[in-house]
Amino acid sequence: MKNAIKAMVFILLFLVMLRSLTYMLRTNGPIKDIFVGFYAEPEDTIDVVMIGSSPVYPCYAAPQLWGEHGIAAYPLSSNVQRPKAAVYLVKEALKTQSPSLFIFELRQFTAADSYMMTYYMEFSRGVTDNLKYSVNRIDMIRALVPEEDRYSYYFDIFKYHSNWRSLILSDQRTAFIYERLHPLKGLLIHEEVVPGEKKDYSDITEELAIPPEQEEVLCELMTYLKENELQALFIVSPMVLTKELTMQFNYMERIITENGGTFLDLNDYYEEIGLDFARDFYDGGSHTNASGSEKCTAFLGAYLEENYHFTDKRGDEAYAEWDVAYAYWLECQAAALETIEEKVANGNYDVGEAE
Amino acid sequence: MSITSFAFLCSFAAVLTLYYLIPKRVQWMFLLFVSILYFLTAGEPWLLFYPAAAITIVYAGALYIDGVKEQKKKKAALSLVVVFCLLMLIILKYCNFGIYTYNALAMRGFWGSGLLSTVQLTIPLGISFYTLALLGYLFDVYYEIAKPQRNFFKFALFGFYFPVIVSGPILRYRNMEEQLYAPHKMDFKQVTYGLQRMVWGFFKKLVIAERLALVVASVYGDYRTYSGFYIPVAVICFAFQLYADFSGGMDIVLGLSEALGIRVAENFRTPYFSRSIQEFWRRWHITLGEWLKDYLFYPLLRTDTFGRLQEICKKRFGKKTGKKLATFVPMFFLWFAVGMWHGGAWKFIVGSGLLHWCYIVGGELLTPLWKRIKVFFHLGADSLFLKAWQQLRTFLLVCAGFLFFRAESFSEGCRMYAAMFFTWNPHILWDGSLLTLGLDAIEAALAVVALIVLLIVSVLQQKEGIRDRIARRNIVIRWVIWYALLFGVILFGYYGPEYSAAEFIYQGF
Amino acid sequence: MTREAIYERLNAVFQDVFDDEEITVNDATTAADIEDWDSLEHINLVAAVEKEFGIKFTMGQVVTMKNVGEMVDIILKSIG
Repeated sequence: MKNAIKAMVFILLFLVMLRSLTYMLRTNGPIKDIFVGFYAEPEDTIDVVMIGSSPVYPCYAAPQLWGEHGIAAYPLSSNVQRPKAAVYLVKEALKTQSPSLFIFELRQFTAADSYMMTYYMEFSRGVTDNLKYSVNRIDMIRALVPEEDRYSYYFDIFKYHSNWRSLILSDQRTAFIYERLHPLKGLLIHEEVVPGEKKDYSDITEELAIPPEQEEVLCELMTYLKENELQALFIVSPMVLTKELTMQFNYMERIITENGGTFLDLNDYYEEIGLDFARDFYDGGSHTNASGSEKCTAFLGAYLEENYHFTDKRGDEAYAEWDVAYAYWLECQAAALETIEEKVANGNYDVGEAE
Repeated sequence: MSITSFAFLCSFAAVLTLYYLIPKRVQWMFLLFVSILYFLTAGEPWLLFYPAAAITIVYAGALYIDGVKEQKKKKAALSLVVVFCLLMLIILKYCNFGIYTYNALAMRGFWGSGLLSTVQLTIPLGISFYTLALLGYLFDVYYEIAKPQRNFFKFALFGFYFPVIVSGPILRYRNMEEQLYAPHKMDFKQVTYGLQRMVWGFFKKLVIAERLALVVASVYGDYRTYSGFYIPVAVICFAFQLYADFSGGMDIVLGLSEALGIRVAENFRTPYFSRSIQEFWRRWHITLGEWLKDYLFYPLLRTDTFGRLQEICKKRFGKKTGKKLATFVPMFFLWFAVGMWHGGAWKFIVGSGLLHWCYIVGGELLTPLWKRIKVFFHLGADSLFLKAWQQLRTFLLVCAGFLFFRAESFSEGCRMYAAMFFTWNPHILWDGSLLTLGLDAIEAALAVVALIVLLIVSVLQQKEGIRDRIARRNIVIRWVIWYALLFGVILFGYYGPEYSAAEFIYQGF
Repeated sequence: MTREAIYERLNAVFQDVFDDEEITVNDATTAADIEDWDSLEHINLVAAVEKEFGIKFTMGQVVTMKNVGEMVDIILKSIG
């Protein structure tokens, strides 16, 4: 009996240490910082959770939303995030937060799931391997990963143990319970400028079906949101459009509105946003840089204030961290805008960064 | 399913739990079931046919030998079964070797130029191991050392026992019979000791062997670029890789088995501490050496032919020398068999076999000279310097053979020797060139530290089991040591989706 | 023949095989006690003992005998 207890304690301690070790070893970078930051947010303080792929976290500046509207928003965004992950991210967010609005970015709904699994499977780890261990994480892995590969997702130490050298970074060591506040509330500021070509397809009203599996995911997601009485906004971020994409977004707009959801395509509001394709993108028109981000966030903030009822929490002592984040953002943003200004003025674009 | 795979470890945890929960008298049946299941998942399922056939025939042969009275019939049955089993082994493993050798000779114009094409046969896992184990049993029954096992399924467990079937050690029925079928009570110490040994095996395999493998692969893959001093560096790395790989695998196997309450024979006793080649082979792959000694070498020495040879030699060369010289002949067959066992290729036959025969013959012939040198330098048999020199010499001689082991072929090995001797580049040893072989400075330092840990453990093992030493400490020190080892493997091991899953070197035999 | 008589002859055989006049053996003597008694000399020893007593050990006896005592037991049994 004594031995059994000893063995149990040994194993338990081992698992606890293994968990922390894995958390620390998960590859460092902006996406990890975003998720670690989310877990560190005090319970029930976030108003808006923004879910979606890479257009989200460089674009919608949570500190700015806070500073200008008193709305606490946070992105649960990762690169090439497969739409299937969204519902699990909602569940994950609901564990600690009770947001009154979920925003879903729709770009990845236009790509076939098999395509993302073939070419971008590594990015699936961006979501699975940035969650704390839980049943929800297991469910997510079962949804996203083929059975024979799952073990290295369940036990992601299999992948990340080779990162052992990164333990010299203090950011890695402080991730041992996967909670560390993000100084910019999940925002990544980009200072590169690669101009894109503005395309106008506003006259196109035809539709093109999105891949059937994504349509199914979208419908299931909406059903889930409805069943749980969660409020949602589906948005499309600014980008250089193509005819096909426009038609696919039209298709989704119809499905969403038919199901009683709200759809907002920022590409319909270039004028209102004041988007400048020569200055506001860091990669030729797929993702906004600091300049584009500030404009889009301002637009989104006004939209949220107009259409929803958020209480302005500025001045609330529980949100002191948010004021710090806003101040820090102002500082970083000013520097970034200056850099961008200089690059545009001199035509000194980051061509090499273009995708 | 490799025994280092995650799936295997999970299955083993389940097996271990079930094993101690089920009624004790069906434990052996459970082991048989698990063993067959393991064999089915380890390779292509239909390959089960081969060991099953060998087991059935040896089982029946043993019963027949035990049953009949006439020595002649016993002998006939023995020969029949041995020939059958060896044929199966030879056809599966050595037929390409025959074809290669024939072609090589044919090309030189002995029998015209008709070349044979090689065949691609799927070889059942562990055939070289289970065949020897089964034949050993048969010989033991024939020699009346062992009583035959009458229960077919019990015997099948001996043949299939899953920890050892793929890469040994080669079991001896007489050591196993009492353990395999006996009821095993859950013994906390036994289980923890077994698991501890497994972790140590993983450390050797994943941290040391897989790490050194990178350096070895770089040099062997391109020895024309990495000539001169790169080659001895790679060969020495390979010596440690092979030892860590094979003995680490054995630690896992023996640990597994120990956790099940079944002690399997040791296959290694710190072989690189050996002071002579003979000693090396008593400490390296022990179960193979013992098998060949008992079932090949001794019978050869007991033949009348050998007796006559010895008489002739004694008359010609005097009693002492003659006796010695005569044994060189059966030894030749012994070392040929050792080399041959590793695989049908001249690189094994020479590098792991006949070269060692040469060492021993040479050593015997030079004994008088050594004695004089020792006297001249006033070296006592226990002098530290002499001991160190003998160990180093033995290690380097063994390495000289290992060069072939890892080479593509015997002729490639010879070319590597040429590349080694005809390039003079000692500067690569200190100018950082070695760090371009696949391990950067930190990785290389880690490899060295891991080897030092291995060395310390090996030295400590000489006097007393390392697990006993640790078990005597208080719980904090104990746990810190085991956690350190566990996390050492987890952090610094080469495994997972980043690395291609590594097979054990000795699994191929 | 008595055990003592066997030992007398056996000592001579050992002295001859291992080339050492000092050797005397008893029931408990094992290979570990005599420096040159390795696997090879074991067979030479067995052959010499067989010759001395005019008997033949089986292979099983050769590989399983653990000490000189067991060897003497077998000799006693064989020459009856």
